[in-house]
Amino acid sequence: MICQHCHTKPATTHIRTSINGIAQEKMLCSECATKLGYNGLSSMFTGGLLGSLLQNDLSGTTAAGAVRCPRCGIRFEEVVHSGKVGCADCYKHFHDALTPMIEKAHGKASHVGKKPSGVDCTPPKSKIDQLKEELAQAIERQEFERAAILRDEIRAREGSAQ
Amino acid sequence: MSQSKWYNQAGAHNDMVVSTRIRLARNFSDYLFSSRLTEKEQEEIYTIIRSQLPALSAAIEKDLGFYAPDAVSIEAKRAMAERHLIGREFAESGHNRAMLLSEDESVCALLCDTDHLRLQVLSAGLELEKAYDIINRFDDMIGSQLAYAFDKTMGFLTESPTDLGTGMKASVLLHLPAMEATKEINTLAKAVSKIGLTLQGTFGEGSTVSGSLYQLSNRITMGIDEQSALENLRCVTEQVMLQENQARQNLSSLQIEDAAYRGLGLLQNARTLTLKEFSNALSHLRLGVSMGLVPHVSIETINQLNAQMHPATLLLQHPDADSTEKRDVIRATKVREQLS
Repeated sequence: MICQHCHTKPATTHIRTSINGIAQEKMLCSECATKLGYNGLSSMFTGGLLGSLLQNDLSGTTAAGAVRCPRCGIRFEEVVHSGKVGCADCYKHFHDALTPMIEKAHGKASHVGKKPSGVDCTPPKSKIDQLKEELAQAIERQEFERAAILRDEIRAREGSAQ
Repeated sequence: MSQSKWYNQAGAHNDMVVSTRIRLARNFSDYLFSSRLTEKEQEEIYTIIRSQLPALSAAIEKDLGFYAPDAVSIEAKRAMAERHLIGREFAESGHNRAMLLSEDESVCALLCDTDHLRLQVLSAGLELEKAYDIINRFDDMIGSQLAYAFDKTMGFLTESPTDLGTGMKASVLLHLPAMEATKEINTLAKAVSKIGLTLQGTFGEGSTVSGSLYQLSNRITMGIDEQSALENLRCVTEQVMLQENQARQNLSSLQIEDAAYRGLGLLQNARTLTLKEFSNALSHLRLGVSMGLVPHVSIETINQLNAQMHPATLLLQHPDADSTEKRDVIRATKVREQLS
């Protein structure tokens, strides 16, 4: 197939985009793909496709762009502009705004591969165990009202489990 | 040039698969990401990694060297990019960053650039498992000394959200002259993009194709584990090899042989050789050699030539070759010598 932009060179890059539900497909040669700003996902961040996707997701939260990550100080609009976060905590602080973008880039937003050594791979604690821990803490802090509520909840849960 | 470099060796299916490359992106949890690091913090990371050199070398059974940020000139970086050791983007960025490099140049780690750690392993031929085994040992060793930035849902946390998950990009450099000639390459590019892979030019993103060499790589790093991603890439690579073989059968053997010997003739006799002429002639010769039509030339010879004749690599060895014309003469002389 010949490049749909210059109509001379063979097309080597297949571009599929979907913006606001409008899907488009293009076959381009690598030079035209670069010229038109399609040279890989990273370039889409810089004010391009993913930037506009993010801005869509931001609509209604006008101040969101000025929000800063408390750890590294980067503003969310800088993340959108550069396509890069400033630190690991940005993924927590901008979680809701970043999730749609991550899902668009990866399809599924959940890791299933390798874990670093030392990362706890045991399943998360049960709700009853969590409540028991909270109860112990409440008693230690002498928050007896809260302790009573927690104890009732634990009993109710244990009762329904049996 | 030393015989021990990875590109002077041969690997599985080397007639069609020039090389395998695996890259991992990693960051350390105690530090902000590279773009927000202070010089002092950068130095701290360099010092920690440097102190691990003997252990790292032992873990991967290769001698690793540490290169300080200003130890590698821009020319040397361009030459490294020509050998696929580092990205072209980094070579041209003018960024001074520390690097680790193994003696055989098969293992390279770039520190504090896009991510704190960009590990890369290269191997001749189709050697995904072998390359992953090495990079995995390297990764485990570093991970046991410095805590990685990791999240159970998002995986390894990277500066660019596109690398989240495994942070792994694996690619193979394929020689596909027959599929290019029959234009099947365009259908292939479309087909692989539907299954999470990308077919790109010789030097990756946005690069042009030189000598019918194409890069096939995985695009998705989240929701798929390393083994499955490598297995997918291996299966598709084998499928592409089958298709390329079929396309080769449909071409006239006489024409392939003729083109290979014309290429050899040009390489053995030219007094000036542009990069394009060289790449095309070498591609015809590679096709002839891989089909057993040029018995006295080996794939290793072709791999060696391919790694040595790019402009920055020539300039590095011949600092006086400061113009394209001068380099074309040096290229012709060197190629002639090696093929005589």
